[in-house]
Amino acid sequence: MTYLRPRNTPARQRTRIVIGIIAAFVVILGLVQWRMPRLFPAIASAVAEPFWRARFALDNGALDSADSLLAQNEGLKLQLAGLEADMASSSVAILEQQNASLLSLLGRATSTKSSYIAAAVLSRPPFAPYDDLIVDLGSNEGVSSTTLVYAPGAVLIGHVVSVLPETSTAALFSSPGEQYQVLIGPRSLPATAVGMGGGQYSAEVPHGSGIVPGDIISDLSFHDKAFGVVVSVATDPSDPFDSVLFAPPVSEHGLQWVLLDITKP
Amino acid sequence: MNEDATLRIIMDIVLTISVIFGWWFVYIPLGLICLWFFPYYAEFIALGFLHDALFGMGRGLGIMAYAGTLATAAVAVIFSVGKLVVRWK
Repeated sequence: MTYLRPRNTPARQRTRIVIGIIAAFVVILGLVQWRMPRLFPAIASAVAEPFWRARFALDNGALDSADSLLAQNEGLKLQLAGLEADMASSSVAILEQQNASLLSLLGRATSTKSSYIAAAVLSRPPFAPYDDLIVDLGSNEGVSSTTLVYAPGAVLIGHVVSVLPETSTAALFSSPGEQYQVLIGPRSLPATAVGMGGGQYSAEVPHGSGIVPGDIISDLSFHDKAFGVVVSVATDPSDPFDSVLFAPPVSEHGLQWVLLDITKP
Repeated sequence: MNEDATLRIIMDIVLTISVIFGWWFVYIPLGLICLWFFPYYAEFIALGFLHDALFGMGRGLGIMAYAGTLATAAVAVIFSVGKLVVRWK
């Protein structure tokens, strides 16, 4: 005897119900995201922030004993005192002093140091995608989408691209596709630095410009800190341009803290 | 609560923490295993959405901001069809 197989088996009905629920959910999420684009990032960030802060605390010795922290503190104080003594006697300090006095003579002296605020890096490459840093300061502390990001030592490394009340996301200038105007070498050749990812940049300069590894890259500001240091120069006699590869003087991927410049433009 | 549901909740917690910390080497293989073993594992798509909400949305990446959601949805569909084919009797 032949039996007809029923069309709507329980399993098939259940599958349809699940697909229907998922489809309705996607439509609702899409509508909410369209009307309130910052809602989901804010909720997700609020959920993730305690975990990020806990890991940051662990990475920075929150569970170390008081004795080891005191010993570490003493060691760092000694190291700082030594570095300050070295700096005071070095030519760099003299040059910085000369630069500051020249800028003040030209009326370009600024008091930007007071506008830096330190922010903890909660998430960084390679674990954060898109070569971004997530920091623990947001619009509540005056961070905006025009805020520039500096590594300790006031080395310019990126800019804020997304701000939430408690956190913000900063894109590194070395992210793939990012571009920034720089001056290369002792002759201050203008060029466009193109981010290559992994904390590396490339730029093109006319062939025979005399750029050598170790030359300093600076940004277009009156800032006296290096933007990068030339690592290598690729030269092809048939190419009218030399390719300059450079990296910032600090490792972007090991940063625990950054400085945010919250000066209003 | 049966053992499968308990295991599923534990896996959800582990995967959520992995996404928050960006441990892709944990959440990609573990998520695929869960997708294969648990029925209707919609949490996988939710994890992709969480990834996008944390790292992608709100910074002008266009459709790339939803890459996690789209990728997990595509993989979930592929696995669902694959499971139907392999387990069909």
